[in-house]
Amino acid sequence: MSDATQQFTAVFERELRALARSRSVWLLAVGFFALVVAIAVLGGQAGYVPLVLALLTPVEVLVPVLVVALGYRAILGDRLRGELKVLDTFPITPIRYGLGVYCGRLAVALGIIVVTLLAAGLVVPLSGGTPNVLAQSGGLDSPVYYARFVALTMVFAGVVLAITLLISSVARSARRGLVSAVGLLLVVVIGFDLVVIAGVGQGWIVERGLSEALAASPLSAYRGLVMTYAVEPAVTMTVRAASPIASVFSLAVWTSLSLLTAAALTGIE
Amino acid sequence: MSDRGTTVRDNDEAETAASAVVEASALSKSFGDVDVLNGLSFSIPDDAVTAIIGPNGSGKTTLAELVTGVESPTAGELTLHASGERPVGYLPQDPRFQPSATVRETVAFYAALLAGETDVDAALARVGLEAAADRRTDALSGGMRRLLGIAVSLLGSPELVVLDEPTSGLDPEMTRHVYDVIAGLTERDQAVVLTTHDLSRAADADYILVVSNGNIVSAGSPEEVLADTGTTTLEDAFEAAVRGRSVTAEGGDDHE
Repeated sequence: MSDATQQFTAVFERELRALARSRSVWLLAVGFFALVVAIAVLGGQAGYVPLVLALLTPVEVLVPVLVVALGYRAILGDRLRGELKVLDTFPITPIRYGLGVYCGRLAVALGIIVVTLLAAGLVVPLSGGTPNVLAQSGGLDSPVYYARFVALTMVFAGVVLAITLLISSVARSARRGLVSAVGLLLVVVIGFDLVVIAGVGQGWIVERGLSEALAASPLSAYRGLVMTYAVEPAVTMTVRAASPIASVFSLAVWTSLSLLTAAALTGIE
Repeated sequence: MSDRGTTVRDNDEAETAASAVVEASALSKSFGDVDVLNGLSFSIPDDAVTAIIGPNGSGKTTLAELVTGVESPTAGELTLHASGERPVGYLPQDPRFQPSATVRETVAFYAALLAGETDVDAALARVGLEAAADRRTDALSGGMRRLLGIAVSLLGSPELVVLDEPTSGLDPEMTRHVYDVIAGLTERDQAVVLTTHDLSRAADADYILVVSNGNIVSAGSPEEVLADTGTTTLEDAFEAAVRGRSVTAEGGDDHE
């Protein structure tokens, strides 16, 4: 194993172990699972695409809550314990450290999200109900669309975690870290969309550029991709959402810039 | 580390500095409006134990962090004549580690950041922590956490080991053990810089820097510090030094 791989693996395993041994993480996972599956049971029995539509809005809120809770103390914890200073005396680069932290935390987040959404997806075959009008009209309801929704949700979790690590690296105290995390949640879940609405209302976002402007928000970009790839093919109407290309670009930029900045702010050289 | 005002040079590079592991010139450090260190110039001898002593709030920890390279000076230059994969090892004043990890896992994690294999059990045995290897770090006493921090600071055999109050919270037996470990480091050509309030232990150091109000008020071997202050014990020298004047470590007076 090369030095780089060995260092990345060491940080990755350390993060994984820390979360796996945390009782609050297990409680969070159980709560997330129960909420999502309950919503699926209540509103998504008619087919995979109806299930996507039933879960989309709750997931837009619950995934950021889960991911921010898992990640906001990641780098902050090392800073508060003084471990960033000790790490600074070892030959590890900030990128390797940051990537190890990110991937370790992401692995746990994705584990919880995938298990939960797969369990929620079982609601459709287990319910044995008649397909609804939405599915019948296109005749296209398929688990493939639900699988796309799950995959896009994983990507969304990765983006939110990257932004969370940025917050974690900026914070200098536990209280500030918590306040910043809650602020981040509000910004991600409603803040960006409010800006777009305000922009449209005041005219500095024009109708023609709306789908690109929407993509600037991670949440709207995720929603747009879900609507484009997991809903639109199964319905006869046209879905208006953020531009897919702009959305992919936006999510990639949010993730890479957040991670690079978070790594740079650790103080490790 | 050069971005932080610290220059790292190989030992072979500068023959004139062969006897010093650290050279500082006009080193200052401020946090916001607060000046913590005020233009310090000093050298730290190679292969020796250097004790930084001074009252609380005098700037000892800041000076240790500058020497380590984990903090950058506001002004001045600090040159480190050390090489290797990990030139400097560091024990923070209040070492804490990921709470759910065991002692062995913590040392293994840091060892994995270095090239090659490290005998984790031997690293723990060196500081007397082998019996606590499977204990979680959040179940350790303050003294045991400090021993774990010392074990981590020694990984990779750094040429300079900076220990911020290494024996604070340790019982007398463990304190003796830590100083035995420190003495062993210099036999292996490793230099040690430690901050301490324990003046009797500081008297055993090869070199002493007395810090007060962000200035070095006396520097030299214990005998030189006694002569410099006209006293017979380090306790009296400490009192005299922090009450009186500041000098540069090169010996020139710099009265305040």
